[in-house]
This record gives sequence, structure tokens and C-alpha cells, in this order.
Amino acid sequence: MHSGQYQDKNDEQLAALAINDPHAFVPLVRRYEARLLAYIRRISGFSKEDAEDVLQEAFMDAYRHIASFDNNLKFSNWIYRITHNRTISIYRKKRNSLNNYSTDDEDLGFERVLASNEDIQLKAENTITKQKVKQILDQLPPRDKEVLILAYMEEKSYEEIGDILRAPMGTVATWIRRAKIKFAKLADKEKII
Amino acid sequence: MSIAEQFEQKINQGDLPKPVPKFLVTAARAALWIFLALVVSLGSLSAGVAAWFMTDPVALSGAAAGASWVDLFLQALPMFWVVIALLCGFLAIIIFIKSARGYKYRRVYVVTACLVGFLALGAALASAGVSDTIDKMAYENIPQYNGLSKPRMLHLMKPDSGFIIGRVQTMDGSRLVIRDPGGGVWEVRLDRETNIPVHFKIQIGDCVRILGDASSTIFTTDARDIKPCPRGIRHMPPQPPPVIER
Repeated sequence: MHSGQYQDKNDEQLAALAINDPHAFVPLVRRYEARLLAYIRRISGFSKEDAEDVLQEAFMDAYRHIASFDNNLKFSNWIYRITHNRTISIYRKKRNSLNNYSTDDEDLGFERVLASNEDIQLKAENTITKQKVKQILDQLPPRDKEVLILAYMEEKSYEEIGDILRAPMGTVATWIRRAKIKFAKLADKEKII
Repeated sequence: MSIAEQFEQKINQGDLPKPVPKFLVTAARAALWIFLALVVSLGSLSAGVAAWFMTDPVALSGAAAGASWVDLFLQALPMFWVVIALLCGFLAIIIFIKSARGYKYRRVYVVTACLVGFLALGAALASAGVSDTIDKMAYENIPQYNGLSKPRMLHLMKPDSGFIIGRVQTMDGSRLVIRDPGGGVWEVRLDRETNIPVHFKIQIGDCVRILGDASSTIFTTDARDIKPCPRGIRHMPPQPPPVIER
């Protein structure tokens, strides 16, 4: 069967079909490729090529273990979890040979947090702000950085973040609260808010 | 070429490894839950036996004259069962948290639920008389269990203070012959003043605990109180007689 025939199915249906037909997994890869690539780069700072390698491995992992996907969970959370774990594991290995990356243009979530009155005059400043936001995020401990990226850049709910990081919702809320305080302190120091 | 295209190419070239079969995933999950059930059962049984030992009214009463309550408590604490229960509790928590959806619950709730569950199940098993059976089975099937219980038994054996513990060898209306944990044989004299609990009918082979007057004659005592041995000791097998060196 060709992967084109599966376009009308939702993620969870495709995951169930992929157990017996690998073509059903292709639309899933297509749907999540760009989002996950951006996510990998945000949390790790990998170059585009490195991030693609990581993502390819993550998709292979997901495909190999597709039978263990729990249908009560959203496929999106599951694939984020696999990608996150794979990224962190490779990030730890590569920590000393990191490449810088430029902040993605889609990273508007923080801008919404930092500047609720977006107007034309602010746009130029926002470009500089983006760089500073990235700098502050890089100064935060990995857990704080991850939850802030998931909450404000990936726009995931607490429950979704819990599913991705395998943590209870209450714990996620605590992590985010603490991370926001640390972020605000650093932002205050850098005078970007 | 996008990752999706590369993926599709691998499928068409037959380079894609096969996914782990569903039945293996199901079997692994089932094995995990069965293991969890076993751990919870063993942990509850151990907690039940430990609680049963600790709630024995005979265990602490006058165990050692002059000893503090902390000492008495620690001496009565059945470490073997407590350690097994704690290990099982720890394992149960780890297995549950590592299960597919276990991460959704806060650790403090999981630990509390585990403690309460073990104690509740343990109390139910103990009240159903299972703890006594488990203790007996442990003596019969685990050789080391005997060795672990011996220090507790020896702690109750203080002839200088009038405390003797042992198994009844022979008996008649006015005396008992018992063998103590060290293998020594004692003659215990009874009289009208000897206090024996109404429901306790002494039989040959029973483990008894005697509070008596320290006698100047070795291995002889006049009994003031006779009680059954505390829980956890009464099923201890008879000790061999001491080896007499010539």
C-alpha cells in the first residue's frame, strides 16, 4: 500500500496501522518532521544537519517500538517524548562540541509572553529580544529550559508536558513556576523586560 | 530529501527493520504487572507478619528487667520481615512509577498508597491467621530463618533474672521439663501459686516462657508465671542438646 492512501487518517489511527504496514508511518513523519526538527534545535542547539540525524534516529526508534504506543496517549506527546529522550541522550554525548544555532523565526511564544503589545515599532526590538531570550534560556538549567520551551514555544499544555517528560502535572506546574522565576531574574539582569 | 522521503525510500528498498511484535509488548507488560502483583503480595505478607509480631501482647511484657522501651521495641522488631517488606515496597514503587502511566502520579502519593496498602493488606492477612502460617512455613523451609530468630529467643533467656524460655519435653501435674534455646534442660516446678493463662493448655512440644525465682540449683526453677512463647519464636524447632566434651 502507498503512504498517500493514509492521508485522511488521524495520528493515532496511523500509529495503529503502522504496526502492520510501514507506509502508514510515512504521513506521521511528514506531519511532525518540521516541528520536531525545530524542537530539537531549540533544546539542544544542534546544527540543522545534526538535528536531522537525531530526528531520523528518533523516528526509527518510534517505528521500531510502534507496538508499544499507548492509544490512550496522544501520538504527538509520544513522538515528542521519544525525540526529547533521543536528543538529550545525544546532547549529553556531544555537550563539548556544540554548534550555535540561530533562533528560529517561529519562536514567537516568548515574544507573546515578553511583549503583549506587539506593534510595528517593537518588531525590530523583538529581533534583538529573540537573541537575548535564547541567551537567557541557555543560562538556565536543562530542565528549566526544556519546560519553558515546551510551554511557550511548543505551546504544550501542562498535561502534554507531563506526558512528554513523564512527570505528574503538579510537578510540571512547579517546574514551570520555578523556571519562570529564574527566567525573569535573568531577564531583569539583562534588562530585556 | 526530507526525512519522510528518506523513510519511504528505506521502506521501498526493504532497509527498514521490523517493529517489535505486538505480542512481545503485551507479554512484557503482563510480566511487569504479574511481577508487581507478586511483589505486593510478598510485601503485604511480610508487613502482616511483622505487624503480627509487634502486636503480640506477650512479646514485650517483662522481656528484660530494667531494659528501656526503646531497647524492648528494637529487640522485638522482626528485622527479617521488616527488611523484606521495605524491599518489596521499594520495588513496588519503582515498578509502578516505571509502568506505562505510573508517571502521572506524584511520588509522595505512590509511596503513601504503597505504605497504606501494605499495612491494610498485611493487617487483613494477619487477622485471617495467615501470619502464623507464614512464620511456621518459614521455619520449615528456610534454614537461615532459624538462625535469624535465635538472637531474639536468646534475648528472652535470662535465667539470672528468672526468665527462661524453652520447649516442653515432659510434664506432669507438678513439674515441666523444658529444653532451652542453648539445649540446656530445665526442671520447672509448679505449685498453686503458678499463674497460667486460662486459655493456655500446655502440651508437650509447646514453646513456653517462664518467669520464676532464680534457683540456687542449676537448671531448676520455681515458676511464678508460665506463658506461651512470643509470636515468631513459638514455631522455632527444638534445639539439639549441648555437646558435652570429655
